[in-house]
Amino acid sequence: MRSAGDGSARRLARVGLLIALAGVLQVLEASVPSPAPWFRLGLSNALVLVALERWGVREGAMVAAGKVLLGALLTGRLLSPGFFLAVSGTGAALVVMAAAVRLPGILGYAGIGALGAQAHAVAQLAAAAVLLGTPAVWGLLPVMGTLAVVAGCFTGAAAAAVAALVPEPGLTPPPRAGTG
Amino acid sequence: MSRQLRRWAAPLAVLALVAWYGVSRRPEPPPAVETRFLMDTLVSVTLWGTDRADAPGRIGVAFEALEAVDRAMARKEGTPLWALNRAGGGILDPATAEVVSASLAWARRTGGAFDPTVAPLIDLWDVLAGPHPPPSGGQIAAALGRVGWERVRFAPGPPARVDLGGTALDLGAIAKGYALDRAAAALRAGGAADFIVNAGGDLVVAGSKGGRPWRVGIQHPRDPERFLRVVEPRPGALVTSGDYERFYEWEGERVHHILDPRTGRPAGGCRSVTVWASRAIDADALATAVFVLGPDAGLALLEATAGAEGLVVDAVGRVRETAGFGRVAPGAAGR
Amino acid sequence: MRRRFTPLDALVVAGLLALNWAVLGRDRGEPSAAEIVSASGIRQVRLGAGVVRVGGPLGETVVEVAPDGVRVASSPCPLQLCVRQGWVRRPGGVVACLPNRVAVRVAGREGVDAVGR
Repeated sequence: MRSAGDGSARRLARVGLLIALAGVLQVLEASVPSPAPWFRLGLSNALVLVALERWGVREGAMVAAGKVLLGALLTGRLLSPGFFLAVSGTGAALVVMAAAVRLPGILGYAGIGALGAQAHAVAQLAAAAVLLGTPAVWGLLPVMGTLAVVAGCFTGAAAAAVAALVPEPGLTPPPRAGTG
Repeated sequence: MSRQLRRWAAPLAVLALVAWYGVSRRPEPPPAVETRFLMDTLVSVTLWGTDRADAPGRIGVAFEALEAVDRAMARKEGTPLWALNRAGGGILDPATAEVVSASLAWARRTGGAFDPTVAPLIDLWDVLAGPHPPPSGGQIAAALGRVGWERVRFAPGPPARVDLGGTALDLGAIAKGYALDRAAAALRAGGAADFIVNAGGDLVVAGSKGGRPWRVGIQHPRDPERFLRVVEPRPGALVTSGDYERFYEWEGERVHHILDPRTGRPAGGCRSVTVWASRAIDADALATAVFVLGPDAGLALLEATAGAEGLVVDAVGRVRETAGFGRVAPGAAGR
Repeated sequence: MRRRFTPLDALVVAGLLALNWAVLGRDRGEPSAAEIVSASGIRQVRLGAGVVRVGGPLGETVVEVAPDGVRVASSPCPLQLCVRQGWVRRPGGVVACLPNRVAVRVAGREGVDAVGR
């Protein structure tokens, strides 16, 4: 299904669109007051999940990488400690969600989102423990992990909504989507 | 539809169970703790279940109570006790009268193993000054000549009066206990029910930690990094006297601060003594007395004293306890 | 078409929540910092901070804060009990120089609420 050069160009355009959307979501989330400084709903992860589910690991990784870079550029955190936290969190979420998507189709979007969010939280804490040189940050895990799982369910639900707008792989795209 | 329901029932039930478990098991907030140097030791007050914001104010009353006792009863220049010793007697304020009265009662009860008139011996040995040759037999005999609780005449009044009969009082082995009781009373008066007041390892334990008993480690007398035992004491006082608290070594001998008023020398029968009693003033006096008496006579005294239990580490490190110690200070499960 | 929420999702979410609360979030008892109490108040020091000098009525107490514990390296007190005590590594463990009014506590979740001594 990836034989048509035309199709892959279209896919690239869609990946770019998802990255841009992820950037906007991150800026929006950064400007909304949050209950704790480290807590974000992580809606942009939904777009990584959409790419993974609809197209594949390569596209998912592209959205993830693009989202982290764009987010860092837009919020001015490139190469800051927060950036490394984002890289490790997003990376871990990507790996776990990619594996979960490959499982025979019994998991729903919410479950995959929750798994990804959990991986995100654990990897962020691990990175923070290394950066701060103290294992004490693990004390945050019960709170952070719980919030992440709940947020992950919402992220998954959002991914389901977005995925409904994206054509299934191998199907002919609706004419309007192709003209852009 | 019913098949659908069956598919969802079990997973949702599990989810509900886990969520309920999480909500009911919310991690408890750590108790508020405040630490200060007071009464020549490190004092900390641990208060459970209080809003962190108003904890300092509520804990403050405990420190004030401790400080008031220290100001009245420390054997330091400028205190009423200092003046009393110089004058050879006089009128006592009600708090000091209570402590003097209790210390004379304990001196009588322990046959002088606890003696509030050891001041000349404490000054002679001066353990706190650091390593130096111990006093000679002649010096000790001379100091012992000025020690003897029987010579003190106490009239409860009011106002309470005391005639020292040529002795000098040092309430160091009992005033800390009294101060702990005062601090606990002040906390209770302020509405606190669940707390620990810890004055240099002598404790008053009140209430619980959110329904679970407070856990107290009893210091191992030779290994600072180890506990002899971890116990969950009943509300009351747990006071420990040990030869490791203030000591130096001289020619292979351990010169420590718990002096036997009968021999005039550091008591040699125990390494440490832990006493539980409902009041800290009693636990404090008893811990010293048992240490001085040694394991056999000390444990016998505790067994004969209603409402007091104890644990003794003897001179060779053997641990012995009264029959009821496990009842007032049961060992904690785990860890 | 992948579903939004399946029964397995409920199990996954339950499992993750349980993991967070029960397994990963359990009390590790690891020391996290050192707390130095002195005449000038209470001060938190990161473990591994190295040598910290603290003033007191007798002079300067030298505290060493290693990544896994604390000790008093030197103190101007007569009995030197604080120095003799050596390294304290247990969370909640305290080494104190009473004459110079300096105490160092290894912070972190401790197994006991107080130590009788």
